[in-house]
Amino acid sequence: MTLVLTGATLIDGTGAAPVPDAAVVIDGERIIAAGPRRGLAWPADAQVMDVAGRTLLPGLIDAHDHLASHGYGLATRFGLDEPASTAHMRTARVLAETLAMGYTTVRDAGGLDSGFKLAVEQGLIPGPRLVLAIQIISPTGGIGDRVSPSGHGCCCAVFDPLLPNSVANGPDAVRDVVRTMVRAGADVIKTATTGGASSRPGHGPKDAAFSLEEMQALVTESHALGRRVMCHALGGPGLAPPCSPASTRSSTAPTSTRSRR
Amino acid sequence: MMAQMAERGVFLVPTLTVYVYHRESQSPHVRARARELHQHHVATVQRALELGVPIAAGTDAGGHGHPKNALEIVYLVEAGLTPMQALRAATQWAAKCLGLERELGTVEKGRLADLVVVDGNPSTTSRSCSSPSGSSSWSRAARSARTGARSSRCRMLKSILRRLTNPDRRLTMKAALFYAPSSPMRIEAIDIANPIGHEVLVRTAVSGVCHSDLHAIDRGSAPPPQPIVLGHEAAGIVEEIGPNVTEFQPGDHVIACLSFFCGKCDYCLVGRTNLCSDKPARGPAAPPRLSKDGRPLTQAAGIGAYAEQMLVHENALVKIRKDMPLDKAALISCGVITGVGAVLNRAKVAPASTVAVLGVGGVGMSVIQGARIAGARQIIAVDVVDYKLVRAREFGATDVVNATKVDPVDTVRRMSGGGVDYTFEAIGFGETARQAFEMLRDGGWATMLGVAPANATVEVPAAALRREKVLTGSSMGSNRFKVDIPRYIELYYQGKLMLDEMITKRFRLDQVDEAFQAMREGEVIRSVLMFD
Repeated sequence: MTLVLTGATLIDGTGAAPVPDAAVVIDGERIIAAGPRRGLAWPADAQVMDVAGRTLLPGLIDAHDHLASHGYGLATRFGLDEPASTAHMRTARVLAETLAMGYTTVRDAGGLDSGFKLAVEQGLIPGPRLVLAIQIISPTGGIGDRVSPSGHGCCCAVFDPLLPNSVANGPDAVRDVVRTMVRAGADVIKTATTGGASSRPGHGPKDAAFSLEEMQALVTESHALGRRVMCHALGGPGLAPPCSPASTRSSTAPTSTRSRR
Repeated sequence: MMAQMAERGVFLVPTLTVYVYHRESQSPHVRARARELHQHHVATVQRALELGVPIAAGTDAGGHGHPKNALEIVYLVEAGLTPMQALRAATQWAAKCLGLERELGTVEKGRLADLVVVDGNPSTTSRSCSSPSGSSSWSRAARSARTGARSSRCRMLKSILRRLTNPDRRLTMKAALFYAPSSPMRIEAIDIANPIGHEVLVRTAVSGVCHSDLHAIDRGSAPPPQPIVLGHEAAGIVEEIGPNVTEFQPGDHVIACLSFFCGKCDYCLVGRTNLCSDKPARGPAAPPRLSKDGRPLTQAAGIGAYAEQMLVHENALVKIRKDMPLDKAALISCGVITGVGAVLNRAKVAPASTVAVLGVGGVGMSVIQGARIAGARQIIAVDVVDYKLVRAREFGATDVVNATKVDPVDTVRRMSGGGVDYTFEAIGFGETARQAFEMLRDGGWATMLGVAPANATVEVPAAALRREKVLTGSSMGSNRFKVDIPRYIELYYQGKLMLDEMITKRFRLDQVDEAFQAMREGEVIRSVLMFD
């Protein structure tokens, strides 16, 4: 079945100037033509939808989200303040709302297990296309290590085998954790080589995590498994490993980072 | 380092949204880090632009309010990307960052049909995002897109899109312009800017015709530069919100009040927001809210309600229940709040006391109602128009005095057995303020509500002050309108505050001069301009 959208102003995402009175011809799930309406033709039996007066653009993409995260409070982060099932339903609602506001693809940078992706693909719940990191890989004391300000370790109420342990020290352990993430459904490998704004005191944005050697192991193993790497890196010495030639050399695939000089 | 990122195609995903959020964190160490990080990220974005480091939009959402992802696009623009670059950071460039650029991110032949359709004409509709159903990914979006919750977030996106599709376009609307005293108002098309910061764009539904606008016309008391968009007593529906607005959503029903406030000065902090000493306004660098042919126009009282739309600070608005009729709602914003508020907030009229009201137009009738609600045992209405005095009894006056037929001071003093506990002057003359003071018994309170000419003075016998009489004033009913207005609406629903009876005439915007003429002739309690 062919669907044609006509009359909108098209912003096609390539940086080209907006096209007034555009048409987009869709066959099944693919676009087969897009541009000024006058230059396009479509089958007589196509379903034509007039969207004049509106703006048509590519589905939006969030390259860094945490869809299953619902607050920065410690009890929330440790999954202690409500049953896992309630939190899952909250997450399902976030997926639906995120899609509804125009985000058709989201890269989840940790915390969303692969069951949600399955549910969206099977049509159980509405949601954007998902690219999953599963968990944030870090060394002991890093962002992936759930240590409370009191020094107590992870006391998560529910153990979810689809959100496996992501703390690793040393190249071999890092490789193991990368493989574990991929087994759990990771489409992308997320790591953190510095602390962040909301990290515990003492592990701030300029405090490093992971050595160059560990980072090389992580990138090499990820690329061997066909996964890109996204790295949380804000400042200080922790910036060096993800950007070093050694850790990106083996790959044509860019790693993604957020960084501060 | 940035040069290496550029060379190797390493993407920068600055996630500005999370730092904006954490700047207000409860934890001091998080707050401090986030403030520094936000500044540095903005600098990093600018450096990335210079060096050609690819940028993708990401929010790091999680705990800071989920489906607000489009905010990042706004923040990227604020950090220095062009609107088109920011949009690409959330489409084509993000797809490349994810390695999905052959499938997603652009509207081109062969790509998956993941599309968003956003309303491109924000001046005519309150629904902002919609997605025609059809393709599989699309129909998913369409089903949930019809829920109302996310419309404001689409608005943020929409204002970006508007800049993309029509960079030079401004919204135009009809407004009644005041050019000079005693000359007719002109209905003309003027430009209204997009909301920025804490501003809200409101579609005007009803605009009350208030005496202080008449003063502007007849006395020339309106501030320069002219022309001016008069009108300040209004109710309407939120059309669009600025990026920093959290209190309102498009579609909310609101009342606009000229007692807008900063919320930070010492008056605001002690709850006297009507006296705010730092009323929020656009800075000199920002384009004017209203303009015509590129020349800025003045918004009367910061509102400018004789126009199809109003662009105001969010602290000039209060949300109201949606079943509240907007014509009655509009009256509360100025006339009712001034009268009822002066009684309840300023004079604090005691139960079983005695009250006289000088001047029973819209404000005076509201004083009568406030006194009735407060439980006054005697309420004396004083005016020069018999029609108003007849109507005053409907609103709760127990006695009436026509000041053209008898001496009002002597008559009120006699009726009340030697003077009343409280008087309210709702006209705006020094002479009537003096009369209000002289009607008091010892220990009484006279409150002046009327807008007096700039050079007017009041002379009262000094000795009377030692009898503990008070002569004071009340500005806009000494309101805290975000608190007061919802309370007054409850009183309306309980039948205690009569609003239906106050509207005597309805006009269209182009009949605004007729509305003022009716007010001059004294044959109305309140008239309103109806839009649509």
